Amino acid sequence: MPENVLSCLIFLPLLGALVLLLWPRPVGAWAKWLTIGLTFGQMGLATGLYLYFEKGPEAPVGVYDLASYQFVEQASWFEISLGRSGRLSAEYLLGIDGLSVGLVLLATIVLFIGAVASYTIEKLPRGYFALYLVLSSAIVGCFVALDFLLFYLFFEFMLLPMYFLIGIWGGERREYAAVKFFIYTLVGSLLILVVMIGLYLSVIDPAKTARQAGLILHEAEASPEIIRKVQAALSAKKIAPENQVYTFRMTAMMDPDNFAPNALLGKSASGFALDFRFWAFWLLFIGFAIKLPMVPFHTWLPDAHVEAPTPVSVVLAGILLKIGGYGMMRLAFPIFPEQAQAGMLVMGFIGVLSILYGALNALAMDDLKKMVAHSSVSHMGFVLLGLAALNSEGAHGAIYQMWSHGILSALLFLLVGVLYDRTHSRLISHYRGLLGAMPYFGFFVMIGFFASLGLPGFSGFIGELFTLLGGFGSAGLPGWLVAGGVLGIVLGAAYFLWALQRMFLGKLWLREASWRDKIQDLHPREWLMLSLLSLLTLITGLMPGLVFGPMSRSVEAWIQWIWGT
Amino acid sequence: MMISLNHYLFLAAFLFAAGLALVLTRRNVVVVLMGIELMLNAANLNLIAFARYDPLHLQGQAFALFVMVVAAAEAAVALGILVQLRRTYQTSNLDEIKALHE
Amino acid sequence: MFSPELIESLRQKLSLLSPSLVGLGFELMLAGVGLFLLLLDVLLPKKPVTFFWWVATGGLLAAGAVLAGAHFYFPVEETSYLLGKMLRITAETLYFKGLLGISALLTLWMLRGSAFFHRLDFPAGAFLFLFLSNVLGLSVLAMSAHWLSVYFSLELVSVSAYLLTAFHFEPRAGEGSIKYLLFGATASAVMLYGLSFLYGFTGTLEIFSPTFLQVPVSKHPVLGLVWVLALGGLLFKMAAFPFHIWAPDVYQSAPTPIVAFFSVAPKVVALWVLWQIASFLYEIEELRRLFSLFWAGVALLSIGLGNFAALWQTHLKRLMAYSSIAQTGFLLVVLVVPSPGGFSALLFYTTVYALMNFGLFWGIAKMASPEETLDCLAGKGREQVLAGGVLVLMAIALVGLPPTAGFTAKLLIFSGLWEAYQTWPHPALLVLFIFGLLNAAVFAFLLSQNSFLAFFQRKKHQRFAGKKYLILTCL
Repeated sequence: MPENVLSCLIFLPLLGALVLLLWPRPVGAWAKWLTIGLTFGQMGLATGLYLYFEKGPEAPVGVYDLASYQFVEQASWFEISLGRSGRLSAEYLLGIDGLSVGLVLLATIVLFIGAVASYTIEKLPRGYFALYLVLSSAIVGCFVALDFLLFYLFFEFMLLPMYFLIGIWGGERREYAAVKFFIYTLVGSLLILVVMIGLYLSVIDPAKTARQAGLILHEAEASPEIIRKVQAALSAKKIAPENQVYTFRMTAMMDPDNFAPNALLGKSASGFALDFRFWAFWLLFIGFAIKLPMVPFHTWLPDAHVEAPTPVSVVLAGILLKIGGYGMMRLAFPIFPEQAQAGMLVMGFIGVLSILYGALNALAMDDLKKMVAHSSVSHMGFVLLGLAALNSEGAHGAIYQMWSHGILSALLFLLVGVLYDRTHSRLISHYRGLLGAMPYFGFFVMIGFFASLGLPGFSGFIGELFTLLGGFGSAGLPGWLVAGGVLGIVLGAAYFLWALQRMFLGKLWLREASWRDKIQDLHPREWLMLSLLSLLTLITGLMPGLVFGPMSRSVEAWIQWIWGT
Repeated sequence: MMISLNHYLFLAAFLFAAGLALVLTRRNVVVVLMGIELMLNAANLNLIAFARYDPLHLQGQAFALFVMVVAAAEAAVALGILVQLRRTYQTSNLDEIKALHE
Repeated sequence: MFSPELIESLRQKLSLLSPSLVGLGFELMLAGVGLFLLLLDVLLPKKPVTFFWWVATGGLLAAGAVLAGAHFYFPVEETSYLLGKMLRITAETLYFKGLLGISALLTLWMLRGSAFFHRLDFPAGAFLFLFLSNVLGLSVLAMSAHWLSVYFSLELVSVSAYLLTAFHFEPRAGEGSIKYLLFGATASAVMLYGLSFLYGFTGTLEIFSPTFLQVPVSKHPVLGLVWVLALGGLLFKMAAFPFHIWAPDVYQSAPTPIVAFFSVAPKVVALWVLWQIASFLYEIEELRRLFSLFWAGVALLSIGLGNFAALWQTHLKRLMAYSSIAQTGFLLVVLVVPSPGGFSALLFYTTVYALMNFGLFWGIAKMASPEETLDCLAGKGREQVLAGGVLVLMAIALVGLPPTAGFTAKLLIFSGLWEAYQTWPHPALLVLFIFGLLNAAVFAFLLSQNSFLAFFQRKKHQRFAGKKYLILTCL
């Protein structure tokens, strides 16, 4: 693999977006082919990444140790002097480890599917595809950035394309949904920003500080001894403030020795009326929980989904939500491990609450898309439950559940889109006995529904199983709480099967007689997308090792890091 | 009775308060302008009273002169605008001049 | 008749004046060009608007060249005083004057594209004269080192601003103008009253005189109040709480290019003067704490009041007025921590701020219809993609979202605030930090109403529901 494959992943679509925007004449059909081609290329690159990613028992772990990340790209982005109070350094730092490799692959797969699903977009194609490409580069950037500022930049950068994609190409109440989405996510990201500022002004980069203090000439020369020396000098307050180089690097933030002695977010900071580490952790948590989304911050999701066009829903449910879970794993938990330990119960409770609340809501929905949206809330609750368990099974399960839900929610939203394209109605009560009229469609719906409700053999089963195992095995979560999660699976089975029964079984009946001519079975394009996703959920369900394999070492290291062993 | 610095300051404070009260309570543009003049004069009185204690120069007195000149210019501008306003609104009452806002 | 001694002393005084002449070259040029324009306007029977415009622009460019020349005349690391101790020049002052000149040029450029400017009966010469006087006043203000020059230049700026507001040839313009004037005159009277007491406490009117630092505040609690009164005039020019009331009326009635100028130049210059005063006073710990809190409070209230009041506006320029009050609040956050790091943040933010605002108002001027309600932008962005794109981009930058420079600016400012909190953990600073950052969400909602609306076709749709919702979220 080439050295800068991660940069290629990010900038390839951005380049395409530029071409689209600067093209002097109105764009033709090639715009969609360009988008499909670029996202396909992205997917190819990510597959290569996955294949070349070092796996196995001896693989480097990543997580808290920058040297053992893979495909690392590092360049100084900017370094400015803040006068008496030190220097500020940000880096262009990319890399992946076991936590992110699967998610990068998932992101590119879903983006490719979304691009194919965008084939039917006719309104303002130049704007749509340019925004879509920008979105896809921002999403991938989020998963590979190891510098907090860079991460935040990509995180915010997703916001506006998404806002316009919903607001211009959306359904009836699109402006409302777009603004709601925008405000919610913006509030979330501002919470993250608050913590980010607090963190970077607390954390120094030992190598650069050593250079600044004159211990070494170039930061590349920093040996472990030098770094330890700098850290010791730092805690002894022997480093002049103007020589302290603050950094946004995530791995530096995880090491408590890098915190300046008087920093409010440092380990030793005490004596203030507020426990800042506590607040910082929960602000980060809420910021990511809005994205995830967790009850009670989930209300933007059904609106956004219902109004968004099908491909945008696919991308939103398939990957955007995963960034919430990923952010917790990558930032909130390892930077504030003691707070994560203390908060297990609360987080587990929120997770189970989301599982049940989402499932109950889904049960009450007549709009198929709303039902799927609420089921997303429920399924993402498992992710949080798995993370809150803070043990190996739970963390494995959480990442697996993210992967599985990415594939399955994409599948489900595509299926809703198929129906909506034909009749422009998504209400469950408008259809009966569809199986006879659209047998292949019905087949894929069954795959989607059964996989989502956790039928063994499909990916949904593995994810839910492992998160629940983790929950039951966790010392910090009471058994009755996790049992609530099991109840969620039962409810999930209920709403999926009930919808299946109402819509597909029985004698064919449609609300409008004229729909009968419209409900043709699947086109080849739909075949392609649906069968690809169905295959993925089946294969990874039968061979979970494909997903577990690359992440195992990192997840183990992550757990050890959090428990400090 | 000697007239001390405090006498000046109290008089100025009274003038200032009276001017401010006019500005806040009265709605006629001309009366409001008169209130502002009172406030300016209060400041002038202070400046001149303090200038006696200025060890270097008479900065306060010079300042007061400038204030008077500027106040005159400002009043001229205000009355000019008021004339134009009266032509359109037929009033110089601030409460009735309210075409903006809606 | 003239004794040699007298001539010698005069020569000496003249030689003292010569650096003043170089330092004031920019101002002298502006005054000359302005008066020339006024003369032409009176003398010429016809009003050749384009010619007037070129004279003003050319004059401004020439003045800019003089300003650039002054850079070489005054050493970078030194502070030079002009006209006795009335004015002072540092490299930073020259920078702010340059920023002012650029703002003026951008305004002139926007003026050239405005319809009202080309109307037959428009006294363009007088208008440009007033505009140049405004620039002149601001430029003197930026150099002020004496309360007299602060007062005098503020009045020059104010009086010309009252007239510029009234110059719209609309009955309503006069209304905005008279309200502006009455409020402005009251603010300057308040400022003068405060000044007179400062003079009484210290016996001097030089701003950067050490005697200001020697009067202990704890012994004279009134002094704090007096300072606040004295700074009122500058706060008024910045439209900061509680001196913000004039802004909506003036923004609504003044021509858009002039509004763009008002929303940038006076704020930036006043902020620069305030920054100088703040960093001078902050050498005394006691004053530093007092003023930190004061500025934190003003910033907080400006941000909150501006943003929340803006939620209820339906008129485009009134909305911009309230959001610019909020922007003032963000600018004032710099004053809470005048450290060297804070200064680079100030330079960066003010520059970016100026460009963002001009971009925003340019987009509005291009797209808005004459009635200037919010809805008039709806769907316009699709017809005028460039203006719409600029509008959205500037709105994003003003909200402070990455990857724009607005984000970097906000990051720098709030980093400074966090640093200040780390050294002096006062809850007010923390409240400002959190509240200020979170208010970006309200601000984003506001700008999404007008700028993003440009790309959506429907009007008014769901706006009110969204608003209630947002307020709930904020609470």
